[in-house]
Amino acid sequence: MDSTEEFIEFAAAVGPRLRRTAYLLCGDWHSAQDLTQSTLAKVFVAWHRINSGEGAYAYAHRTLVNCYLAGKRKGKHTEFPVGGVPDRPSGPETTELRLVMLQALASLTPKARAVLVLRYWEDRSVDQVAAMLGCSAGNVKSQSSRALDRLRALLGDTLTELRVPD
Amino acid sequence: MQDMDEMAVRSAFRRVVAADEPPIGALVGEALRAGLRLRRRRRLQAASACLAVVAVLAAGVPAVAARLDQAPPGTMPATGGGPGPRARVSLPAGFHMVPPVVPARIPAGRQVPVTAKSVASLLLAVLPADQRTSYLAAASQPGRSAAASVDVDTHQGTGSVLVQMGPPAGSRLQSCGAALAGDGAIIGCKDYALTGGTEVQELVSATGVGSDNQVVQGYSYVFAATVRRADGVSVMVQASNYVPGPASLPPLTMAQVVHAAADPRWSWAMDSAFVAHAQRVRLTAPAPRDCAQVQPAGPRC
Repeated sequence: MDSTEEFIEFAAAVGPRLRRTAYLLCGDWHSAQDLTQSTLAKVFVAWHRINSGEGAYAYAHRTLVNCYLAGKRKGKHTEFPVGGVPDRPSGPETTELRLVMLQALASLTPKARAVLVLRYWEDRSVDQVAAMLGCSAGNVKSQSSRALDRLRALLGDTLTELRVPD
Repeated sequence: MQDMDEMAVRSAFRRVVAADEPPIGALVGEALRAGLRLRRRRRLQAASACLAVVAVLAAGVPAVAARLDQAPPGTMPATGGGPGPRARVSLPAGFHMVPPVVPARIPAGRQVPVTAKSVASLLLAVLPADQRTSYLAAASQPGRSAAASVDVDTHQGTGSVLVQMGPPAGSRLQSCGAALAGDGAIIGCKDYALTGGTEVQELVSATGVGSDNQVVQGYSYVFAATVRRADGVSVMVQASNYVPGPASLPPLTMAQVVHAAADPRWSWAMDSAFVAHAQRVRLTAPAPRDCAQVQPAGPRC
């Protein structure tokens, strides 16, 4: 199997997972698809010098987050802060929850959003997130705490109801 | 409280992602195509920067007999320079160095400083008419450097075309002998002077591309022409092919590359109407990067 075939196999395996992470970062599936595609393209360029398996996934994941944050720094996407979530659902029904949650995430800074996604979607440790984002563990903890406070303030009862395990 | 919130966020993420996830479609194929394009562009930038470095380092080096004249017709020394014997690769089928071109007159009219978009616009203007373009990028530091690149698809081939303008007090052109002796990838070289003190150099380089088992599956060719005018402006245009294969060629012929580089409109000042009109051009790719950024140390955008 040559390196291109290896890459195709790798991309087919990790693509869906990367795209879900990208979705939580971007907030819509189109942007998530674009972000995942550009991430995998960069991984392909570096394929000859990165290890296969988990090493390659870690590289791809780090590239995804870097691309997301770089895109935000360049102002490719616009965010608008919200003072509150206007149409709060009565219960955590999936569609309404999705809209409310994405709107709440959109009110966070890109870095805070990345911290939340890495910590609570990817289940990365504080140290891993710090290494990935190039900041201190203390900074990750404070970003995470502030982001949770913000979500609590925006989501209120919805967050309370979600505290019941699935 | 914090633990409860973390649990709630985890639960929310799971539910949000599970809802309405669309099919992944042609993600892998598109990513592969984008990766090939990106890799090709980076190699092109690296080759371009390295050619420029070689030209600077070799300035003043005494000319060596041009190996082009010594090689059998149709074959040139190829990659793998050094003391050992070099592999030989044929020049692309149908390739020939072109006769000297005589630049036309510089257009009259009020001249204003060059902009990145005017460089990009002029690059599009000097390309042949039957091409499709995409991924247009440009950058400019008036008086110091200007560059633009674009992906081009013609009946001849698919690849990238890059133009770089050098400083007014640029170095002399490297001799063909030094170029052939110094860079194993260069398989053809021709230099000549035009009336008015304009120097022209045509270079052809070929880099074998293959899979992990080192079997060469095709060649990535670069057709490059550097025109150094008497006013000190140095213009380098190069065309290179994507996805090398047995029959893959750059999108422009050497004659078209030389014609593009010799266009008298390449200058630090351009016609004001042209520059104004060029502001409407939409750049669709990041600006060309310099040599230091070509090989990243880690993941980045």
